[in-house]
Amino acid sequence: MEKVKIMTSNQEGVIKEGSIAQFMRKRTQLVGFSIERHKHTQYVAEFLDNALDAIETAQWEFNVFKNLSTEPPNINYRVEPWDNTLNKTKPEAILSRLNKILSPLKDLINKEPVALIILQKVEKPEILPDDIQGSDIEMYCFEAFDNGVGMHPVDAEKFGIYLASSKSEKLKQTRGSQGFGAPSAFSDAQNTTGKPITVITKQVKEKKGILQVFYTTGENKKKYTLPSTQISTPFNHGTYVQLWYLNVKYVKGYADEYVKQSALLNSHVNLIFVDPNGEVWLYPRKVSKFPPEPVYTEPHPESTSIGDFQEAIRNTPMLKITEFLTKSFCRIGEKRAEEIVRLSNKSLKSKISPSMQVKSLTDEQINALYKAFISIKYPAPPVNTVVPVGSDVLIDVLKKSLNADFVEAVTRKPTSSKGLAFVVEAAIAYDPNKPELSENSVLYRFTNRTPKLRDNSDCAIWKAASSVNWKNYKIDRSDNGLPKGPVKLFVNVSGPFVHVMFKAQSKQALAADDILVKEIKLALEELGRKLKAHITKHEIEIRKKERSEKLLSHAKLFTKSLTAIIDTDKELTEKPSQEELYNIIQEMVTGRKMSAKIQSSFIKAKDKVTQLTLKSY
Amino acid sequence: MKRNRDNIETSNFEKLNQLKKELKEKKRSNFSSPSGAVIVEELPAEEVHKKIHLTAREVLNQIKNKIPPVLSIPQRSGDNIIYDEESDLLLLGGKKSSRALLSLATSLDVTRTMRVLEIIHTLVEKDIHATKREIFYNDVNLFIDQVNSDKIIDDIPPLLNTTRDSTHIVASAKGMAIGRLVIEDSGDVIDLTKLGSGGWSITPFLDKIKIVESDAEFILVVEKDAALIRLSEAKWWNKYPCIIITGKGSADIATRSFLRKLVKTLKIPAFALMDSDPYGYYIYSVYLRGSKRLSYESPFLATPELKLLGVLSRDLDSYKIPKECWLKMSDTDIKRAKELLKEPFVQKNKKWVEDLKLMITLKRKAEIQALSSHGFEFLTNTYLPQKLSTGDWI
Repeated sequence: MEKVKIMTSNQEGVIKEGSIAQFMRKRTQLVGFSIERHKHTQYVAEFLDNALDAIETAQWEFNVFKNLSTEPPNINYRVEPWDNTLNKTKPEAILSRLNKILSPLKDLINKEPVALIILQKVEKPEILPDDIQGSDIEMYCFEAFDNGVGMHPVDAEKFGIYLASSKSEKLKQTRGSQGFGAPSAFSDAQNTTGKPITVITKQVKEKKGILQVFYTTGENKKKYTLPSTQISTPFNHGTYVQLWYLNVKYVKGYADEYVKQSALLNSHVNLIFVDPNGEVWLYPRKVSKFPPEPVYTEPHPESTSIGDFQEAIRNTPMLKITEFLTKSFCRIGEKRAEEIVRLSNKSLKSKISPSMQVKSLTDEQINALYKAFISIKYPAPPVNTVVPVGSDVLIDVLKKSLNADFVEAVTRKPTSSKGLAFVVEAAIAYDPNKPELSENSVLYRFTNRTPKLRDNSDCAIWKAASSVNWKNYKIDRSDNGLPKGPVKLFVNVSGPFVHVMFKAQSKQALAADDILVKEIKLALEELGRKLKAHITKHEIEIRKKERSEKLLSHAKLFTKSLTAIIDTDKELTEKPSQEELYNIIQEMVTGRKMSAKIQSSFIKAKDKVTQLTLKSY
Repeated sequence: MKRNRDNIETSNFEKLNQLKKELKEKKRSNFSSPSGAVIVEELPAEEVHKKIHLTAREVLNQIKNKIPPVLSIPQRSGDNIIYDEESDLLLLGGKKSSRALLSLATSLDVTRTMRVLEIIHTLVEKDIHATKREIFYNDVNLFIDQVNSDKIIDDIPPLLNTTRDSTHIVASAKGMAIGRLVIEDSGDVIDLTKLGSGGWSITPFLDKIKIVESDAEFILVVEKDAALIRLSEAKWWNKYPCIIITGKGSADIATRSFLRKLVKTLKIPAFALMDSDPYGYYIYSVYLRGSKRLSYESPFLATPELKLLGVLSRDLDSYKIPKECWLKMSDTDIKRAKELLKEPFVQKNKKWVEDLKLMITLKRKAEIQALSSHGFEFLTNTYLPQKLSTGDWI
């Protein structure tokens, strides 16, 4: 330790210590911020996800949205563009802007969970940076507001700094987790426009809100053009972010699609998105209950790498080995901890004991401990760490949003892979009378309720969906293996699991873990069976209808001929009309089936009564 | 009728005379149908009218009692055709098929059946006749194809236990007759010797025909028009007093019925002159026993007295028909010949069996026209007289 100190303080080495901020500032494309139309979506996604997390936290921790009505709120939204003449960094100007965008919501702002995102094209600077050239480059003003938990002034100081996340340390089912999203967005905003970031936030428990305008720096710090100033906010709690960025022209069908899909799986929040064309995408909430808060759990040994383990030992406040093991991981009790110690001694010359101090362990002993630690079979992790949307909610929301004839959803039992719990749920919408269902994508992927729009076929969800034999379920199959026709599939994978399973930092695709793929496939196959049953039922109904229509059309002609013959029969006194005869036959055709049904249900009911009476004796 | 006979006397055709004698002596035995067979009888219009009413009442009662309406129709499929040895006829058996209105498989059929019944009902009520084609055009939307209405038209007579004629639906007749016969058709007296070379077209309205007189010694049924023209050109009936009939191929109901009427009324022998092939023999068998399709009407259409005169398979040798005029039998021919051999009424006639076997063995056939290889007059001057005088028939 001493040596290192001398090196950094007294000598100039060749190797310079870089910072994550310097690194990431130049590589915002790693998290989806390159100049392309997807960047708009990336901004919307980052801040919408944050907004949803903040709103849920506000509800779970402070129960701020009480007595939400079962009827969705009536929302009308209209916003005027920024006044170009205003000095936008002045606190008064910013506050007046905030008041303006919130005024249509003033009755709802402290009652209803609202996430609002406004993206508008503004006059672009005359001179563009060297690396961003092109006639289709425009400047955009991005504003995001949520009435979520808001930030404590201390946290607000860190907001925008890389890896400063409330979520990254603990593995919990949240939308974001890494502390890369907002800082990368800020970096990109500054890199492209040179304009500072504005944040207004008020935490639920704070009396006043704060306003700050700042740049983030390569040292991973914030340089304020307006340091945090206490202000009165037009909302009880929440966060407002405003920034400016350059990008190619906004195109419909991406960011709006992201909001639309988010609304499907986050139907407990009101979402409003105003796109650069001034179009308002409004999604009032459809359910009145928030999902329950996912429980945090210690890491499961199966999901712990040697590096994680070493890091945990370095950072633990625990003294004894057994204490460290039982408190730092789930599914390890006293007995198991002692067994781990016993097992590690098998390969150790200098033995360890359960009560030994963690800090005194040698590297050799740590490695032996880890080997023993992972060699044991553990029960699966607890599954209360995962919270699915729920098939009832999915069905309800999809029915309301798609208005399809057939909507079904399946929520699998929570399970785990590699020591991390997850739950798969899937939904299907089908309606042959709605040709619009055949348009656009078939498969909609979500992780922790967050839509995934990119890297479609690279994802475990896609792989699972394309491996289902859809033809078995009476639905056509495309060449890519997905179903074809008036059908939409929705798959949501929830749990802390998904953060580990992403294939890249942009978090677009899930790796094809065997258990995950199997779970998704099972969920989709269950939906397939339900769909098949529905189609079959429908087919039978159609056949029944066709049958009775055919029979009745014949009966009409039959009775017509019959009455024509009867009419000349002089010996016959009673001559029923064609209509009378037809009505009797019609009753036989349409009524007979029904009476048989009633009869069988009557017999069943009778049987039940007899059984009950027998039992009571 | 003015007799204008040539000097040929058929009176010394011994075998022919013998046959004639047998016919005259044969007492008309009352036809009694075997048990189970569908018995049909010729009925006057008002009876048919009544029978249709009875059928309608039955259906009406079903509907009134909320029973899904069903019509039971005698089956006309092959396995319901029985050969009655006693009457020597093909008859329709007792099997019936149910046509239910509330079954997808039969509802259209029963609706069509009721519609045809309605049409027949109108025909008999007004005492008018209609052809099958006219019935079809009565309700094209329902029948769609004439095949469908024809099928029902054939179903109705056994349902009502009557003949096709009685239902007032007539088949278009294509048969011809010429020779020593005088008839009265709808009040017009027609001498069949005075029709030039054409002959009289057999009418489908046979109930309107009366046989006035005839001095014919026998009837000759020829398969095709060509043979009739040959004989008519020679005014052959003047030399050999006879009546010549052709059905122009397979015989329709009217032609068969007319033949039967002549034989029953005049009590003279009848001979068939067919091509020497299985199809010709089959046509003969239809005159003789009736067709399977209309087996229930056999007693009214068949002429069991009809003899097969030629052209027999053995005739090709005995009359030295040159090989160039022989035709090779096709697979279908052989199949048809073998099927004929299986028929009980064929098996009863040993001579017929022999000739069919000879045909199958030699796999050869020939048309009547093959006789012309010995000259155009060979048929009229040599073949027929020789066959008739020697009694060389089956």
